[in-house]
Amino acid sequence: MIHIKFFAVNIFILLSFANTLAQQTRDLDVDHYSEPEELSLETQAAKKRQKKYHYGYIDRTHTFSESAKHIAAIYGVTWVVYPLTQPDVVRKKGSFTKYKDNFGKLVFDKDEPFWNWFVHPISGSQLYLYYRANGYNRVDSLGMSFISSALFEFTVEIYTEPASIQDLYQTPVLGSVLGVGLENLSMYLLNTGNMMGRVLGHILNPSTLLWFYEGKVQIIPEYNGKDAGRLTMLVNF
Amino acid sequence: MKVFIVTLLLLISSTIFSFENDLVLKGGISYTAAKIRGISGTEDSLNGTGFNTHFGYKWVNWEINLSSYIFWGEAEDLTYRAQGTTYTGDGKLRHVSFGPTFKYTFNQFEPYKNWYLYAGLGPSWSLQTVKFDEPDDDQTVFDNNHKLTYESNGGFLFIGAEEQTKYKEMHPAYIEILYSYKKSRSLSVVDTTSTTETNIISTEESKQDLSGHFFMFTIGITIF
Repeated sequence: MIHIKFFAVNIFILLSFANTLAQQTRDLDVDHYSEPEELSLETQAAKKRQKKYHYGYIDRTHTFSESAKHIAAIYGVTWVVYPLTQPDVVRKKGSFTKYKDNFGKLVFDKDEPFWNWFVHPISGSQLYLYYRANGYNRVDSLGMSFISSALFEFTVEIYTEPASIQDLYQTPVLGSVLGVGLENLSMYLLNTGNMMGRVLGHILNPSTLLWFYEGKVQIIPEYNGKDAGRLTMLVNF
Repeated sequence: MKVFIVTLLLLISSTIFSFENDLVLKGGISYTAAKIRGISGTEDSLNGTGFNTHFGYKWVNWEINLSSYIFWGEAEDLTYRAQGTTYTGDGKLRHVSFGPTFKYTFNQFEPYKNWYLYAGLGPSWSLQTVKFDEPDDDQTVFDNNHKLTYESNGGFLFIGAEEQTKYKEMHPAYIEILYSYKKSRSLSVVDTTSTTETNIISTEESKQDLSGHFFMFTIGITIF
């Protein structure tokens, strides 16, 4: 009972805080509020760095064969990356007898938080960003990440351990939640026009650096020296 | 009169309640209050914080999601049984639940502008991990290099209110109270000396050795 009371008190405190905050917002004295100074377009432009490219995402539809090729490519990469990143586990614990035993099994893994809360969501976020870079929208990127991670769980990782329920869910779902955050942060950094910003943006979102990235738009400003200007944007896809 | 009623019904039925027939990913944070029972009548009331995610499909009123609720807390003075011995001690509790959830939004109940009440339920499969603190004496087989992981079955029941917006890009928010009951069915003792390798020492049946009532208060938004 004490426990439920404690829970109720906590909710009450949360709601009271929200109410106080809302009240304070309503009570703001409007006389003290001043409109921000409106800047001319020229001043706004002068405050920004010149940049050659604009980074973003261009969502488009994909054919079945195109999606199958992406799934196959990522699947191939996982066969190479898994033994390279975990050579000891593969050597000590892996075998084809185990592969046969683990085939079709699904269990709760007992891994340490380092794997379940760090490695898998990060891997999932990079999968999500790979598909985003290839023109998939957010929901489709999550779906494609789910297929890729399920294939890895059920047909690659079983060389050392059975497929895990946590990994099946957390890799694509937590990966996509993290991926959206990385997507927004990296786009902000890439579009600062600052070299350090671009470097950080590419580190957080390496798919933007690779040949398949479809959202890099080249910006060519032109000015006739008198009264007219033109902005040409070139997209490769 | 008949024309008026028919027109009214048509108008009501054609009003856009919210976006529909779409896949959604939602996420938020949670505050959990739980009462957990160990063996020998020991029990502990604990609190924890964590997060929740839901991925599923939304029709007009119905929604089916694959949901996950996660929290971290501190368990004190619970008695556990493993490998034929009992152990009473404190430790950090990690809890993760998964399950399909079925949710219905009542478009007749709008307690606040654009916020509608909903209710739902679903089965749950969960994993509770107790990572022991340093024991007071060395008379025990378990220490802070061991963890017990319980696999449990149970269910979710929840009610809440969610904003209904025309487009999911408006990131509608939700607030929810969830009740969940779980009881253990198996237990594994894991050696945690290495953070990179998982060394399961033993696995045994553990029917009802650990059970609990969980109340979660969650808030979150539709991410996309």
